Amino acid sequence: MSGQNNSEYVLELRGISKSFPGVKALDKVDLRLRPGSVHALCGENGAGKSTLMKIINGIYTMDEGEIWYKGEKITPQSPKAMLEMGVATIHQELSPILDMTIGENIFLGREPMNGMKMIDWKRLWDDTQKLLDEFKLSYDPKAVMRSLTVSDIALIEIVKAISRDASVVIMDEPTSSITDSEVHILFENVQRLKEKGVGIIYISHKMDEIFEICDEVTIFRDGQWIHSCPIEQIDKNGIIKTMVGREITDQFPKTTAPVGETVLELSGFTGDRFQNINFSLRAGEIVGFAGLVGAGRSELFRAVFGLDRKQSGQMKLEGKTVSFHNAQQAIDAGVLMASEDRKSEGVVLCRSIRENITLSSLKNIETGGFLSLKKEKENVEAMVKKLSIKIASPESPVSSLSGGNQQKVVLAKWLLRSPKVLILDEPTRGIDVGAKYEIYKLMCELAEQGVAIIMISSEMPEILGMSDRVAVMSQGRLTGEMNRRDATQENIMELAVKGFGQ
Amino acid sequence: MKTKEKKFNLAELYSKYGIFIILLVAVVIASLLSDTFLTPRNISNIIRQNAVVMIIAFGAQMVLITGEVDLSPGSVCAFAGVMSTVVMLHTGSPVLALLAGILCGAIFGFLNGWVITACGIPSFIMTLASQFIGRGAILAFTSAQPVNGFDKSFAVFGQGRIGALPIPILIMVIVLIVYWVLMNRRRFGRYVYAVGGNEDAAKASGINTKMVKIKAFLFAGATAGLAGVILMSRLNSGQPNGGEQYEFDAITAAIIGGTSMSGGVGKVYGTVVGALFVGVLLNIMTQLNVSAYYQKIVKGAIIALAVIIDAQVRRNKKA
Repeated sequence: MSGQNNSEYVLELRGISKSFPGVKALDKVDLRLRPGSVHALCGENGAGKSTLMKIINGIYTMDEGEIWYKGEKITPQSPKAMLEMGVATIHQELSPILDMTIGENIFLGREPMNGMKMIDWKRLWDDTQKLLDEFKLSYDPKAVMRSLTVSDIALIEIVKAISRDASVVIMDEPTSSITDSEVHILFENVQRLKEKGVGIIYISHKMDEIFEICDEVTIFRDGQWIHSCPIEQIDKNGIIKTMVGREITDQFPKTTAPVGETVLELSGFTGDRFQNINFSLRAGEIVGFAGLVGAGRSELFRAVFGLDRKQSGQMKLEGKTVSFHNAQQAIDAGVLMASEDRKSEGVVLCRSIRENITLSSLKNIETGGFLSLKKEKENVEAMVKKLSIKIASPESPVSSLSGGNQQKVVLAKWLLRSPKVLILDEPTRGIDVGAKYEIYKLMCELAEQGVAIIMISSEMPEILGMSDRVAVMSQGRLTGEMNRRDATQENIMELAVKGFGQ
Repeated sequence: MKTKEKKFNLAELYSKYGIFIILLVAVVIASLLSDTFLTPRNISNIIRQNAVVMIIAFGAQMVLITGEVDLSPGSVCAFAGVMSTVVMLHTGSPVLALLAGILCGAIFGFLNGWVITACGIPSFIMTLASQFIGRGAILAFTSAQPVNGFDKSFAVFGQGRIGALPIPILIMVIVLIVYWVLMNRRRFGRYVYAVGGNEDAAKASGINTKMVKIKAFLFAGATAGLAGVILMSRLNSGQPNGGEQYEFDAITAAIIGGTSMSGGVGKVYGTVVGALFVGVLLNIMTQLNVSAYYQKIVKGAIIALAVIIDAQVRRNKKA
């Protein structure tokens, strides 16, 4: 024991390579994690971060390389075995058992037992309560996961991973589905883990977070190790530049389009999660919808798009009163929405890129009731080119694409329907810097062409960088609107928490 | 690692060409085991006997691709087939009898689809219920006695020939063409794949997912009805016990042919080849005097194997 703990690193990855048929996912990459430090791992989607994490967890076997953990050379067998050794992972995609309680989820697979080999429920609830108190979370240990919001669930998953006396914690985009105030809770706990000597690998696209909590940074590009250094030796632009291999001078290519007629008008719009919304939208405008997670923004626009029911209120499209009972009617009227959950509501993963792109515009490629594959091919090729979607073949399944390219497929699908109103719910969530930039550029182009755009976003820089106008919601109410030049982080936050604690 | 990679390729290979290779292997083995297997007469027999199951399999596959399952075709086939013989008995018109059979099946299919989508219940349970209802209804209606004594002209659907071409095969080919066009050249087919691949995304893309499912069940019912007419015509009698477990053969054919149990994936030609494979296998076992009991065991083992491979392919795709 004693000699091993003198090692400078708690986890050391040396020269790791991994190939999949046709792709070299990792090419001799290194990563060295010191105990008691937070190490940021940066790279565009597809740079090999997730592959490396899967190797550490024993999900993939590496082709080449060595893994040293606490001074010993190890071969990861399975996530469970790694967890028992003290390597815990918080995955980007959450996997709670929704019908179990918070306590059962946290202690799943390691329930405290009593003398008779039965679950010691009292200890389970007590231990859960203790953990929740420690993390300053006010949930009932016996509450069912299903009753929690997405960000609550994310926090519980984080508690679950951290509670396992780990020496190494891997966090893969831990803040992608929690709100700003909860990010602070997370960071406090990261700090605590650091003080306990835990090494943390922190994967994130969010530069502000990286500079707030990380000590060191390693950057991958296209499966290769590019750079590692203490965080003080690099700045935000430096990281982005290293990640993409080129300089992005401006993160937001915002242009202002001429504003036209009013296209969409909501008056007294009310549903389960939003009340009395009065709002109007004009052609060529990009309106950012800001607010905390759960403020009712997605629900409001799902109702506008006809996916959810509204209870009362009126909607006018180009001056005419309309009411959509399903997405089909909305789409036919030119109101289109790209959902925040791309995988579950945006794309059909098992079908081809071609079929996904034309799914909503098949009527336009019909001749005499039959699909014209030639017209379809032309449409698909045009869209792939226009949006520079990176594909091997239009016949590959969408599941083979990165998040950014999947999002582009969703946008391509809508562009074939010539939108009047385009609602984008978290359009760049989980997408790398390069693809983000391209999506922003596309939004500006569409606005130039007179499309009215709603952008629901939980990322403040995006709201500030891309909106002509910012609307803020809190607890189901529209609490304020402001023009681009008046919008500041402080103004927006003030409106976003309006109505809390009063 | 080496073994893992090999497995990956095997599963991938199977998903592309596997069914053709397996059919070829089965044919080669069968012709080695039996001198009579590769005679034109026997081959034509296999296809003719399989026409009924293949027609049902097209409907079963469409439902599977929407992400649902239809367990009722065997009973629907008997119900609609016997009903068509009753119509034949009373009207003497084969055309009316044929239409009545298809209509009976379509009504059953529509009801299946309508109840499943309107009440949001699992298709597995609903179609299991209608399997019992259909069988029970036709047994009660006929007091379990076969319907006989109608004009011989009804035999044309199951036994007739145009030149050398048996009419059941002709009907099967027509259904195949209609089905292929529906799935590959009509908007509807794309919707079927999209609904099965991701129902929520299909809905958010403006597809009336419930209507797509109802239509798929309707198609499955109609094909089962048509198959029932051919079956009773071949037997020259309305047999209320006919078509038992045909749904099983149909689903086996679709799954062996690469249709995914979880929906969204499956090619039309796969079902044709899958049904032929099952046909060849049963034919050779019969020729070798393998008892019907053992044939059941073999069929069961094959469907389990096919589903295992399907699961394997999908797991690899995910990773």
